[in-house]
Amino acid sequence: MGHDLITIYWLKAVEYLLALSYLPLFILFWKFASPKREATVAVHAAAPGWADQLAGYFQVPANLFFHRGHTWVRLDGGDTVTIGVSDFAQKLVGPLGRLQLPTVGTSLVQGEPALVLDADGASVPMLAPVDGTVVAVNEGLAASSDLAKHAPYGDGWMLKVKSTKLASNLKHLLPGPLALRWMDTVCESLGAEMAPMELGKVYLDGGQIVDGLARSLSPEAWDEVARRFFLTGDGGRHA
Amino acid sequence: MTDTTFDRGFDTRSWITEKIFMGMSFGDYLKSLLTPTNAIFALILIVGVPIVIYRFAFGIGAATNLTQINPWGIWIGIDVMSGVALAAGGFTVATAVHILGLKEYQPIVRPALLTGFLGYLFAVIGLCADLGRPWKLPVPMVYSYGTGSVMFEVGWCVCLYLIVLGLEFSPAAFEWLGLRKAREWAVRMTLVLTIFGLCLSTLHQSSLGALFLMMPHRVHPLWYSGYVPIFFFVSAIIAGMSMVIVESGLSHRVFKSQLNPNDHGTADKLTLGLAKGAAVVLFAYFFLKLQGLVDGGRFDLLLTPYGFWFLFELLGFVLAPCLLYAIAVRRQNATMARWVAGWTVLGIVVNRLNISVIAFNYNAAERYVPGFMEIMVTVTIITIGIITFRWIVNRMPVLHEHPDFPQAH
Repeated sequence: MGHDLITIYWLKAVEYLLALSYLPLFILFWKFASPKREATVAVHAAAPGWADQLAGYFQVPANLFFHRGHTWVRLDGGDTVTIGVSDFAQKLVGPLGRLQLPTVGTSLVQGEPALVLDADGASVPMLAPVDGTVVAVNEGLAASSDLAKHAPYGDGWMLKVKSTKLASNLKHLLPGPLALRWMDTVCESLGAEMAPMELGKVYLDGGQIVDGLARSLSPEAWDEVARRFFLTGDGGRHA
Repeated sequence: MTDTTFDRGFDTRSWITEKIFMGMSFGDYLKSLLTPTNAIFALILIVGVPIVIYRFAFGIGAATNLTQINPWGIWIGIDVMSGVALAAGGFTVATAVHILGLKEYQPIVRPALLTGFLGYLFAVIGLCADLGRPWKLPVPMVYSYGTGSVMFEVGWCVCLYLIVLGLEFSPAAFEWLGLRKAREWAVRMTLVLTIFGLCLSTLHQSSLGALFLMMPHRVHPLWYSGYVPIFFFVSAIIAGMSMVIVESGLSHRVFKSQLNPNDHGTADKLTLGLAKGAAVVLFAYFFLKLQGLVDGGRFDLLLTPYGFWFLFELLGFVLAPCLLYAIAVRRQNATMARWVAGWTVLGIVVNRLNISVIAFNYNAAERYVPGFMEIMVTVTIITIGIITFRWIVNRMPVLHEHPDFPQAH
């Protein structure tokens, strides 16, 4: 293309046109690139201040490894581990009817259902924190499921498992210090559920935390609430 | 709550177990490394490392298809040009958070800084492979100043910015090592370092483009423009934001055990925020490229093979991701935004390869095609970069807060 004046003026005119058209087009593009509707502001934006108080309500021992589905693992030496259900899970579900535990010899897969908590006619499955084979079941729980509630990290243990992939399984678990921070965020979510959009009495008003939080949150569908926290609800399964 | 206070008495063995082997015994740690991904990495390193050694033992001529006519190959096009552009997420996100005050992006500052730091580090390593005498690298920087040279500016800027990125990321390393005092000092420098990093990035990202201003006859007219430095800087911002989206999407899959299960909503929100930013910058970049095209006035070349390739880059890797990003934001679809980000990152690599390799020396008698050893060196360097990123993320508080330093990032 030549460099005579007419050609240069023509090109300059196109450049100016481009620059001028950019401005109104940008406004249209900005509008187009905005969400159709503003995302709902999460209620738990206000949570952190009191979430810590909630977090302190649940025990998180530093020497255990936690699965995000609220089961825990204690290393017994070698490839054997003890498995139980967290304090949070016990307090979320409340008084247990009975426990459905796998029998000795059952194979477990990390992130797949391993045991079931029964209460008030509903069942809530919980995920295995490690891969392996069940080598012992806590017989004491058959006599009294309250044992799991009162000593969730001690005599309330549930299974002993000989793990097949312990080292790689542990990478997917949260050690005590990290689990503490994780529990804070879990409590933020719990707090958000405790501060509904249509406010009646809420946690921030004060009062005593009840046993069986899920039932207080949703008497009809408390098991759904629990499944959501234990990652066994729809779409909630994570290895 | 149960007491979580640990015994702080120093014990080398337990320190190594905790910090290096992530709380596992050495045997368990080795066992945990036996994964299919690591097998692929090992295979690449077994082939690649001897080739890197071969290159330094026998020279560039023996290991590459580079010649006096075609002195730039994929080590420049991918390792340096693309690597530096894709590492721009560090300064982009740090500026957004610490200077523009967009504090909601705080959780992705450390991953972005780490990606930036490693991106620059391995770009420099790639450059060392490409330089005939890499051990002479300090000479023009400290002994024989060439202040009129663009390379002088690029060299100093990249060197200084690498140090700045290292310092910006250092609080995470100090938290990992438990060095409270050092961490406090590093955190105090955050704002100064961010401003310094922004200045340096503006300078050298554009200077990499300015290199081409000195050889207009070598670059195809459709890619050559007086605006090349601006193109490089603006597209680096796009590359940085897109790379942060890609990196955070992959991290959420690979390192999910380190993340809070409730973080997915936050990650999606940040991804869509970055996607909107990238869409807007891509929109501006598209118009700038049009200006460059009009300014060059070579519309006649658009209907040639190079012209079709240029249009494919402009429409397929600039306009298309711009619109797709906008649609993803409009529909609040973070997954779509992640796929678009991957496509955009590819587009930036294609752009840098176009200008420095494919459309470079387009009229030369002989054409450059990378050799196997060149490709393997590039793949090896990228692999080592990924392994280093994973090693650091597995140990340092990058994706999560350190329990002893809550609200630190």
